[in-house]
Amino acid sequence: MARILVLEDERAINDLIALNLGMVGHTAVQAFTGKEALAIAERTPLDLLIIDVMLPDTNGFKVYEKLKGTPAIFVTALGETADKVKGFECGADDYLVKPFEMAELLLRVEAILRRTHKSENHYRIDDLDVDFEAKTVTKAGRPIELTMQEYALLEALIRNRNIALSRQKLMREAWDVSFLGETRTVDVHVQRLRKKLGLGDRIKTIYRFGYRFEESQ
Amino acid sequence: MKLRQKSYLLTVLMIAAVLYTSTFFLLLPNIRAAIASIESRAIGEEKALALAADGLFETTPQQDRPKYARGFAAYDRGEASFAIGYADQTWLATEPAPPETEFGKTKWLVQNGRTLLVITDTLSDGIFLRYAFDATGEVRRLERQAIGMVLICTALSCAIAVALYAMLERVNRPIERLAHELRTPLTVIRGYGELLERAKLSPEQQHQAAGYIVSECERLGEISQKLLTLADARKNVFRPERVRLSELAAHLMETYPTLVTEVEWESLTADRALLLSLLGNLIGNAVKASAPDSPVRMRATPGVIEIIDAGSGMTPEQLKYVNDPAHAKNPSIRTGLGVPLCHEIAALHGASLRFTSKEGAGTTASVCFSLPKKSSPRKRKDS
Repeated sequence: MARILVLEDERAINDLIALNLGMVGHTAVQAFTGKEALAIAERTPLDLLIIDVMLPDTNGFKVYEKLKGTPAIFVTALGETADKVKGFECGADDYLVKPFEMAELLLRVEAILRRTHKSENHYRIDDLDVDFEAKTVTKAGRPIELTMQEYALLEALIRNRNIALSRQKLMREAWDVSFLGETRTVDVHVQRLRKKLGLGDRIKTIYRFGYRFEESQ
Repeated sequence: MKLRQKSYLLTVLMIAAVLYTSTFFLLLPNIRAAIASIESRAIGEEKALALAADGLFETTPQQDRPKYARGFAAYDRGEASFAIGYADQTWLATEPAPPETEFGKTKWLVQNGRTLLVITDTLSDGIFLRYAFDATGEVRRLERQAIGMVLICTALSCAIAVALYAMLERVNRPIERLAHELRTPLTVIRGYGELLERAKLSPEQQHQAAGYIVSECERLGEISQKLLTLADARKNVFRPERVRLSELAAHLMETYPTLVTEVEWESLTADRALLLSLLGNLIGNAVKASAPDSPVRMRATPGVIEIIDAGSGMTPEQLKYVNDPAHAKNPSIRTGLGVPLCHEIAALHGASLRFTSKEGAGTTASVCFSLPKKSSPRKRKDS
């Protein structure tokens, strides 16, 4: 699991990001000033930085310059294009403008971790083992045949574990389309997943919303 | 935003266009006069030369004419070149030879980077005189003049653009600031709302999420209040009148029991309600920063009103935030209607608001009004 530095001076937002990262299994290290962030970076290795551009003691770009080499996502209230360009010119990997959706942040975190090979490549729970690289699933040592859609659904649910995904989002993840109409297909596939993998307790239906993969029961 | 930028650009372009066209029309008669003067000079010189040549050749037998023509080489003063000859025979040509042009015409030519005015004349007995006046220097001077004017125009439009931009920024900044300030509570409310909807949270986490949502909603309320006040200040609510400071001080002392006032400034022209709100804000902040019974002083001397406290003071960083009305966020100071509004009210009065502070020793907020030049005699009359 990745160690991610969250540098944001607004306590409420910092806590929010940390909480979300923690939900899906990452370790969030919180910093509220540029100074703190640099001190933390000296002590511990980091896989990713999530940086607010406007900080009380400095600006996020400067901190990033000093921590060069670690991928970063910038978060800011500045919507102006000039700042976006600046963000990417200094090598930022991604950029989010407040207000943003946490699911969006998690998605981008995952994408960067995958690109830098810091993403988890195995997930084990109970007697289930999912290999994200080979895209194979074994249960109690026995390989289980899954269709492409079933596998994609399972990976999306596990990568966003403990957080519910809407049917539309799952649809987009597994079928790679923004689907506006019938989402019952998702229900059918989730039913099959539960049956094949014995995940009836782990994949919870969230009323009128979607599904959530739960680690703790 | 987009529209504002467009209208700004359009205004700047229009100003530039007006400047350029007006200089063009200013320069035009100047250029015409310069050209006319070159032409008359060239024609005059050519005439003199033609007369001299005519006079000489009239009394010279035909076969001696080429020989005598060479004597005109003495007329070559570098500024002009000329050639004399008969039919296709050239008797004399100074260097560089004048270009051949149609007979009886005056013509402008550019040759080898030189600007020439060429006059071809026919003398008696079919002798021709080709005369080329070199106006390169004159033309260069005119060019330099034009370029200079264009540069001045460009500099002027740039200066106007910058000034206009600064003005627009000053007018729009507080609203932009507040719009930015909206984004933090929106992110927080949305984020925790999503978590409550989608994640399995422990009871403590749920409590924390709900707490954040409530407190950020309060912040939204504050921001909305600020926007309303700002809108009021901006509409035609600015009604300046003669305000007596001693009366204002008495009013403020009723609201703030720990306030001590020293008024040495009789009166000023200001919007009473806005000035009261500005001073009230500053005094309110000072009271909050001070120990419960510690006095807050208000001192008014001509041109300056100061609010002085011996409270907790501010760190240099906080000081930077409160002194810069443009700073996009000041996380540590969130009091009353906010320091940005104080800056706004001060600016409306043509005054500036400045804080000086020492951590642990207290803060002084000074509102400096720019006094009219004749203020001192009037002040004497007042007191």
